Amino acid sequence: MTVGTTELLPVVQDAIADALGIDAGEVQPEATLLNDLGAESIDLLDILFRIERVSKIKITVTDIGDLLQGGIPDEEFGDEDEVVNDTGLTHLEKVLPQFDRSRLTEPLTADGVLGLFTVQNLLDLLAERASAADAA
Amino acid sequence: MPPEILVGTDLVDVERVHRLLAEQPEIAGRVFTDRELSYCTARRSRRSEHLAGRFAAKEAVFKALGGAPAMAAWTDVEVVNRAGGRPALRLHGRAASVARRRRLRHAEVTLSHAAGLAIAHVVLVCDPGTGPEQADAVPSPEKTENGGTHVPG
Repeated sequence: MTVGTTELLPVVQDAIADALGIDAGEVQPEATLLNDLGAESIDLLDILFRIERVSKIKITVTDIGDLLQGGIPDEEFGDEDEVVNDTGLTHLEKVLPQFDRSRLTEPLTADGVLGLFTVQNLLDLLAERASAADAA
Repeated sequence: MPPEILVGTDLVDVERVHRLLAEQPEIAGRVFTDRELSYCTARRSRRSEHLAGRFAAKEAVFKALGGAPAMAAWTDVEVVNRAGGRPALRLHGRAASVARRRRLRHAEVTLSHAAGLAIAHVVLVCDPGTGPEQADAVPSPEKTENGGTHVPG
């Protein structure tokens, strides 16, 4: 049976809480890992390994990057100033259901894309990975 | 046109790296290259300081390149040491690809650690130009024996 996001939520909450030293209750699905919960790159690494150890589902930071950019070449994803263009924004709206470009208050740059990634997005990615592993 | 200068700095808590690697030793192989691990392990009691410095260097390169961290593997950025011990950068995979797009010509990295913190400062010198890279207009990077790109420094 494929593991769903409901079953994965406590695993993810515990992993994030332990890595960041916060209460698991603070880890809500809509929270962004970097901006809301304050995770840094090293924390992301820690979180993903903690999840892998418990769930056996392997996700790397590169996997998250691949999801966010979807294989679109850099020069097609953003302009020369690394501002995400229409192609990039359209892709982000596709892979991040909560993302709405009309709510951006300033141009989105490439280094801000990871900041959009929420706990729910991580849950969805994990569930998708688990489903793919089951199907294989 | 003058060259474009990109800089990146990162500060890492040595204890954070030490704890992370103690609790989850498998992480080491996904973040550091074999060469980096060998170098740092040989420093015995200061292993964590050296690893933290290298971690900071990887982050600093990603910052300088403008948001590549999620897209590149940690091992895509490698810190090697010249004969005199001075650190240098070697880029692989996607980080090397982004660097080529940025027309990277020259790179410098410095590492330091004190008071439980490790810091890395990276300066990347890129050829000017805002359009797509013209392969024949940029000096070919030196290919290393393991397929990486050694950045002159």
